Amino acid sequence: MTHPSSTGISRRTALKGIAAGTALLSMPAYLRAQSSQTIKIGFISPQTGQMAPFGETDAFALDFIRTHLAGGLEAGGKTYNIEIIERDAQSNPNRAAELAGELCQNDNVHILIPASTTDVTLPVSEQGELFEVPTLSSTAPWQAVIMPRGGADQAFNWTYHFFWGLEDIIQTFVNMWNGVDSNKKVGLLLPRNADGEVWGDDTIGLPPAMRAAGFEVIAPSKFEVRTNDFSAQINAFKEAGCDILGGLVFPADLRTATIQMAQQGYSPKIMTVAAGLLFPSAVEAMGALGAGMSTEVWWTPAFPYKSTLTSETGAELAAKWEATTGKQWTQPLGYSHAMWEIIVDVLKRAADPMDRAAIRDALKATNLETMVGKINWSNGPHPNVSKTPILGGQWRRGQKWPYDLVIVETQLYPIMEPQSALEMKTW
Amino acid sequence: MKWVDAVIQGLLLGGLYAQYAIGMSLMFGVMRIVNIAHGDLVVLLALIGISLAAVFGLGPGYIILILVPIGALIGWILQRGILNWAVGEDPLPSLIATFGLSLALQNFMLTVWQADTRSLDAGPLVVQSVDLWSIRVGVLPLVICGVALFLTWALHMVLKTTKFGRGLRAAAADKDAATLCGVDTKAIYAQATAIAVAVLGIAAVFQAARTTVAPSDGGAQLIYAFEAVIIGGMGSIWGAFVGGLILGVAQVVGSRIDPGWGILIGHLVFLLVLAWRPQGLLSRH
Repeated sequence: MTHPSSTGISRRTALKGIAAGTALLSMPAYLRAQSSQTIKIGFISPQTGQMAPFGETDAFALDFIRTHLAGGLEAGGKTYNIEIIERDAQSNPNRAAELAGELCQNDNVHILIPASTTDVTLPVSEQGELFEVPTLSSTAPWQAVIMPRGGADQAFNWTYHFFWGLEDIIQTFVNMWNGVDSNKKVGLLLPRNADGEVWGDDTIGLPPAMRAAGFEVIAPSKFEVRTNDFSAQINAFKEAGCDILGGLVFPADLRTATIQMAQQGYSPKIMTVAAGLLFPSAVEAMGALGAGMSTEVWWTPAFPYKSTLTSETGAELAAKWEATTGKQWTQPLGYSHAMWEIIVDVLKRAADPMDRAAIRDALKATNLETMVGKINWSNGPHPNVSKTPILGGQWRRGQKWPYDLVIVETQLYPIMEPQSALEMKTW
Repeated sequence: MKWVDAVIQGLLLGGLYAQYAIGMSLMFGVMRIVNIAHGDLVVLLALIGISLAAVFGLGPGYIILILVPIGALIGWILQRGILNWAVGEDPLPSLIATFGLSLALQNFMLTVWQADTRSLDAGPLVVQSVDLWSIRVGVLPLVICGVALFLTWALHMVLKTTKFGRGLRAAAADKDAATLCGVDTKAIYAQATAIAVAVLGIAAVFQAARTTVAPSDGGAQLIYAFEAVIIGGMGSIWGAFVGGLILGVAQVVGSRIDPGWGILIGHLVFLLVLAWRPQGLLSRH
């Protein structure tokens, strides 16, 4: 048995070689003349597929950092070239793992960045740990990246994650609902997938936290993603008279369910949904029904932080995005930017930015106030996790864009004052 | 009363599945093509419709009027340009061709419309409902089911009474014999696919009105359309309609037993039919 691909130079490697050669020649002469060393960064993001809305801000941040570092990165008195090798995970965890393996083994990257979503961060972090490449990830609740790898009782050597956790989003929801007059009955809509199972869990999920806060929980069993009929759940909520509807629902299911709720005459006073209301486009797609829906907020232009790279405020970053893309700002924007703030900071501090272990040591010692908050791995809930703030927000009719996200809950992370109080949803 | 309500909601949901299934049934019955890109064509037409609505401020009724000819044109080009080269005794080439088309369409749509979730605003109709003996029936599902019934009847009449219908049935029964009798099967195929995709133009508007569409959504409804076709009997237009209704009722009644079971029970009914009557309920073969 021989593997045909294992001998000789395949067409693909040849093409890659040619491409790399062309790239080298096309670089400004002064860079080539210096014959400086090149730090390679593997960047894997969901550019296509289900998770593509997350990939949009990744691509924007990548454009920015390439311009920002066009003249190289100065560290320890030397200038290094930065080569960012971007790959599209196609929203597919298997594909993400495969790409990460290639980047570690064939491209010999010094850092891996699985930019966003659980489906990319988890498999890429596994590869990063396996091949001993420092890995920096975000935009997935930390449990989703740590727990499936047996992180409950061990620390990892190479993979570092910054984001909030389930305990934070659950507490944020409870805080939001505590602040309004209701009959304290909550109907829960949860999908039958990894997220839904954790959210509905009877020890770490939403139900026990809500019962502890004095709410009654009505949780019909979980629905299949892309269900076309929610009449069973709606009947259960209607019979119980739930004033509050909560859960984790993706945009398509959320619109199907909300329209059917209106048809069936069920109109909860508060509707707070995770995941499905992150993006303004999803809220717009709800039509008039989107007004007054509430959700978690990871980042908004109102966050009181500045970029360490450009000294821009969140509002300035959002304005730049809106001017460039013509689209409303989205929550991952801050995280896509903060990712590069940390990378640049780490490379500047690393004893040898061409050495994976040295980069890792610098990463571990990070103490930086980024666009999304303070990043420091020494005081997180897990040695590989640095928590960032989460707030509660409500979508209201806006001026410039159809809907604006207004901050209504900041008790858990009092980094700013609420912009308004949570209002009853209109139907 | 709870179960009567479940059956009624199920029948209405079935109307939605029937809208997807009749075009698929037509293509399968005539050409033995399983169109994997069926769902992606729905999404493509829906996105075109949403863009037209946004640019020209048109209501859903006008969008349907525009999308049906666009769908017919896409279907005709698809058959003439691609599928006529792949159709034959062996079902594999057409399967691979439509699979490739599905991937190509998804990436094309992602480039043009980006990853955003979109929907069509069909006004207050969407949230209205009527009371039937204390059961609330949504107006939109009622319209969807009524349109499905009309489409099924209309397509049945076309197949039964027109010259095109005779040619189509002849080509479906025996392609070579039909060709010998002077039927231009390639032209018939192109017309059949044009009709199948034109119907999707209607389904696309309802899909965009009742939920959301995004470029990668196409595959999600494909399985239900396929199951409806199998339950009803491959190639039977009324079979596709009945199959859709049965699937809808199975799902909704199942979800009333336990909300997590709805889709599973739909699949089980499909498997039972496949085991007991593999040719489908309304098929004569």
